[in-house]
Amino acid sequence: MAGGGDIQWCFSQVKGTVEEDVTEGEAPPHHYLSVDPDGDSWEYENGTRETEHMLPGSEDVGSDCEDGDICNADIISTVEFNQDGELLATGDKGGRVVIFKREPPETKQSLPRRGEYNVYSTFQSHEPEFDYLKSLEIEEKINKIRWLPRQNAAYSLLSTNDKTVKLWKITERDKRPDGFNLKDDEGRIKNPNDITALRVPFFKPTELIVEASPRRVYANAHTYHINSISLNSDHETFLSGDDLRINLWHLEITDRSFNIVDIKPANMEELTEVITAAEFHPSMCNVFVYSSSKGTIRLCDMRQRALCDQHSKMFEEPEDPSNRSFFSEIISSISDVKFSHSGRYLISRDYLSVKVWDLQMDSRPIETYQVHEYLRSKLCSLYENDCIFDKFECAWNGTDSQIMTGSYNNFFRMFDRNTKRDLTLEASRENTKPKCILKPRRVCTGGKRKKDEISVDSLDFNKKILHTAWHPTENIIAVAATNNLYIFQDKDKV
Amino acid sequence: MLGSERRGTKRKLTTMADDPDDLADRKTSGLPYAAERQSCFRISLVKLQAAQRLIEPSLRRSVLICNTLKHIEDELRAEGNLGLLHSAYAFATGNTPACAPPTPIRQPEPMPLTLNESAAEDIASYIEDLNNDTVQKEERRKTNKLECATVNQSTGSPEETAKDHSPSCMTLTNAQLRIQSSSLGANTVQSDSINLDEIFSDLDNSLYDLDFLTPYTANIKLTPLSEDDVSNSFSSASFATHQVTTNQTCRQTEEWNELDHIMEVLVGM
Repeated sequence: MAGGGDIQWCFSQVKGTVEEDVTEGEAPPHHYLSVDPDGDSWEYENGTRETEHMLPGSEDVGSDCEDGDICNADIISTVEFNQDGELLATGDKGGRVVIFKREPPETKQSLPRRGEYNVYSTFQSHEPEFDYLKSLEIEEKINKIRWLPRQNAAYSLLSTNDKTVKLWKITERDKRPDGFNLKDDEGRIKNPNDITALRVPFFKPTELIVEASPRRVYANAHTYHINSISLNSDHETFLSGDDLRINLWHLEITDRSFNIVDIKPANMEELTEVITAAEFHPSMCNVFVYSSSKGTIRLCDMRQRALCDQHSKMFEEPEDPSNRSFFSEIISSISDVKFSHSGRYLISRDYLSVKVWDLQMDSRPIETYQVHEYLRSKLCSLYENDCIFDKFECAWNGTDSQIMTGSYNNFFRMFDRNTKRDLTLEASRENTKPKCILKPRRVCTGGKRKKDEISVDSLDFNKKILHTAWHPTENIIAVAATNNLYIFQDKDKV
Repeated sequence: MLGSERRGTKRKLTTMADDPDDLADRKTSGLPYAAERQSCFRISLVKLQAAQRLIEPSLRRSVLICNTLKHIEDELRAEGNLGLLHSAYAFATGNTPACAPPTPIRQPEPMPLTLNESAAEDIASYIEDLNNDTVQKEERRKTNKLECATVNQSTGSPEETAKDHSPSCMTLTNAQLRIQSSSLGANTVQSDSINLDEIFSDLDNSLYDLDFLTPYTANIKLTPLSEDDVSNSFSSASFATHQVTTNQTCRQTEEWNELDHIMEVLVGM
């Protein structure tokens, strides 16, 4: 594993609610825990620097949880770095978005040398809703967050739950106006007769306040559950995809959207396939892909026609007959699709593997990496307990040379496309000493279990890593393990 | 099941095979193919018919389960094992679970839940079927059942009677989809099914599970709590009273004797 240009990953930070904090009958307060860089102590840092959008934990909707259990609302449901990697956003099941910002290190000697991610802003993005017509709840869980490129001092992001996409603008305020003529320092209107002189108001520096405000709400366009949003490279439009349809929006227009893909059959009884993910090409603004539950990826060109039901290319690997089972279709269902930064390749994640596709060859993937092949013999049990329906995400590194994806037991896997080496690491509270190099993990598939290996039957299928993100330029990764966010960094740079 | 486990304890994946050596030989679990298929079939049915939760179930999940069911159904049909189909459907659908749409699924309940003549007629034709094993009679009987059954929900539609067998799971999905996409009719379905359950709650159907998986009379151990677990986690009144035992060792002759006995009771001889 180690040596010769391989990255050695080590622990940097962990963010999340701490179980010991949960008091009897109460929801856990929304504190963020970060490890002191010296490794001597844990300290709590308060949620955010600004108060207007801070959520007191006890008032959270859906935060009821039993003593000792993970609070459902804190389960992280999406993780995303922004374009320069300075900001890291997470969304959770409770509809909250938490943004971390990398602080430059205080001194050259402080660790980590590249700085820490600290909480920058927290806000409630989506609230639970009730659809009265169908008598069904609409979950507030944040399914996806996508950052907009920065155009001014403010940061913008798109966040979505099952039905509604919102554009949030995050602004900083570190000055406030002062020295008004008609108002006094507390803001009370002055008696005009008391004014004897004129002065020019000025901006006075104050404590930093970070505010998030919803600028656009794109609602009522999806009958089914939204699973993807993707910003176009033109920075003016974006797509939102649900199980059966994909809509194209203009960022400025909220009351209309164009439907560009519709796979809903006239008779719903004939439905056999749903859309699972969709993404725009990173540089070609007319090209997007969408993946399906049958293991196909379709590439569409919006110049061809308005409704892109006819694909331009379809990427599908013919099935291996020797591996056929009842679950073949379920495990071929693609849970995530990501373009490489170059735009030349894309990766697709199905239940057991990650495949790399060359856009110019649609007959078969150019590379296939097995994530947890040892689960193939356990598919029936995984079907029973519903784990087979878990949707794992995948990620590229900045140079498109490495791929990362999650697995069970809080394991995550990295594949190096050049050396063909793979690595299994674990996100666990036991490895949280700073600069502590993560030890590679191994799963024993049968026969004698060697020391330090873990057998397939001992894996914890409750601990799954579905969401991971890789910094756009550096070797920093963010891994969401249920309600905790782990940040790992390259050892050499720490 | 997931979620209810205490933190800190590693949850063991339940294994289906007791003998680890078998794993090397078999692609999937340690079970014989047909037994696993049967188990998979029933689990799929149970999953599809899970009591409606407050939040909309995932369409992707429903479609995938449905496709799996269809695949197994097609295999069973191709092999001519219609008896397995009937028994499995009867097990899962006999008490009209909450999500079930009207009727194409209402296979002949092997034993009468409705003590009337049409049921007797059904049983007679069902037994005939088992002997003849033809598809056409099944269709005919299905349409008979359709006419007999009380269909007063708005979701029922004429085209369903004309459809062939494939929609059995499709209509289950269809029901879910209808529930998802429009109707207040869903509530009607639920209330109807609950009434039926109340009426027949005192019937013990445990004897009437005709499982024709007879070649496998050896002690096949399924995943320890597989079906019970799944049934219990989706428990509604219907499943609680059903108490179906997955009695794999039941011999066919015993069941035929029971059938005869029941026929006698019904016909009054």
